[in-house]
Amino acid sequence: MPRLNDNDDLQTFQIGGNFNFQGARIANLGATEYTLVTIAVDVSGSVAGFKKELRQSLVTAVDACRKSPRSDNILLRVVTFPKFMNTGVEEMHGFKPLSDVDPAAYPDLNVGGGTPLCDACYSAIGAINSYGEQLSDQDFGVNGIAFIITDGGENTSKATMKMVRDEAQRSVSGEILESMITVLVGINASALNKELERFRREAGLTQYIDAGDATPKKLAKLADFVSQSVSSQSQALGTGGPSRNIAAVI
Amino acid sequence: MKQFFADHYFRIGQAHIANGTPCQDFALSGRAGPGAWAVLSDGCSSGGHTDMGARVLSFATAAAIRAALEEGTFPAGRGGADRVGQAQKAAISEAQRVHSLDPQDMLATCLWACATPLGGMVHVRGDGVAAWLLRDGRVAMSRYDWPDNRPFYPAYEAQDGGAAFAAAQGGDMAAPVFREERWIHVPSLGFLEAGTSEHSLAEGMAGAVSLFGAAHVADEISFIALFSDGVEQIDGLGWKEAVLELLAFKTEKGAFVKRRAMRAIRDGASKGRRPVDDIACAVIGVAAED
Repeated sequence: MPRLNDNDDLQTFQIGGNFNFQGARIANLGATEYTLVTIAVDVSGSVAGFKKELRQSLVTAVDACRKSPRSDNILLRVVTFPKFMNTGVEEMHGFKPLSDVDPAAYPDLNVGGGTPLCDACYSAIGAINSYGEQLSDQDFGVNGIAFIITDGGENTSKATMKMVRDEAQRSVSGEILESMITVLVGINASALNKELERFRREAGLTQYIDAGDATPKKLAKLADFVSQSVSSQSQALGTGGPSRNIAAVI
Repeated sequence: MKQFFADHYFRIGQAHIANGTPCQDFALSGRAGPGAWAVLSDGCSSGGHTDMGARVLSFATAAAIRAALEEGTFPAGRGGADRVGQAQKAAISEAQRVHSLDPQDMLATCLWACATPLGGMVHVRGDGVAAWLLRDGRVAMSRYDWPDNRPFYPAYEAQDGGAAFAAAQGGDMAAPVFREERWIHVPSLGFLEAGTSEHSLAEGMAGAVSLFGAAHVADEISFIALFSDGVEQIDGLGWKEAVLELLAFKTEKGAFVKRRAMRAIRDGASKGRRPVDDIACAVIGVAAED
């Protein structure tokens, strides 16, 4: 899958455990505060049947975020998991201002392989922690929100549950980010609700939501949920806490 | 050619929040022609709707500086200050007429600065602090004040040419009443007193002018900063320390003054150090590379 962030405005950062990510050069950022957003999308073999609709949902969600009144204060990172037929995550693009993101240019999803859910969560939360810490050190106000969208349970990760839990705890300690929300979204995964809810609890994520079957209508609602949640969390920046307006259902 | 950038910040103080009164400080900044400019104004708390006066003065001053920078006629020393002063006077009269404002509404200080590759200037009418952060890390700062916290306001000139203010100050135009206290902070040595000047009443009413040349811009100056007297009224923090803290910029892009000021105030508040009065700052940056 081609990377959409190969330019001089981005630099590479390390999380740990051989995980890294890219983000806009901090010296080039001009606003006073940012909400860091990561959307991690499952592209394991089992999403093959609705990969076009899933991509469209992602495009719609990002497009809606671009229209948010807070769009100048949002930096978005999009990853897919697993890396092609393997473990780990593939960065579609690192943290970028929404004005630099063209969701229509997002490539088709290359599906295949297992579901490295811990890798996806570790990368999503760890990158927000790491980048957020550097932004905060440079006087920026920062909070975060991560969506991990999956149709299956953990099965092929290199990252451990403890690594995910440690990053999740760090993210809500208040020492790095003003607030953090992590949402695990199950799509076409109703049969796994108990397993994914247990994963959420053990990983220390904020919320698990069952988005239902992978129908165009449900995927459109998922896109709406993502963009509304991003906007709401961004509006909470400066209040000292997380948004209290994240929907409990899709 | 040297590149310039600018940003500004202002916020309400605790005393105004407690009393339900508006923020009477205001600031503006920007780039124009070959350089950049910064303006701030502090409305008199015992005046009328001086939040309006502070804004009128700031916008009128900014417009005059921008026009001069675009014409290439700035910095021009006392002549430039007089030109801006005329623009302020006209704007005050016009704003009073258009918006039915009372003369008391227009009582506000005005501090402004501009910088171009040819040099720049700082002009202070009223009270507050001007500071220069140098490339070697030193910070030169001047604090201006008037007896009994009764500063000169440009609106006095629009009212009666300043006659009533001069009379209230004793009427002797040569009397040394406008005080300038100079300090320099050297990272390895701390604060060093650099002298005090007692400017005459006439000089104070015309405003203090500090000029700096092309060589200073090219080799010496990183930032030129203006602060309202709110910087002198932060609980548990001296004005000189406050200036240093507010000038400790981490990055220089975009809202660099707002980021630094908001973080400094938030960190200070966690230690019980809150701005009692409104505070405003406006800063011009000189890029390190041509």
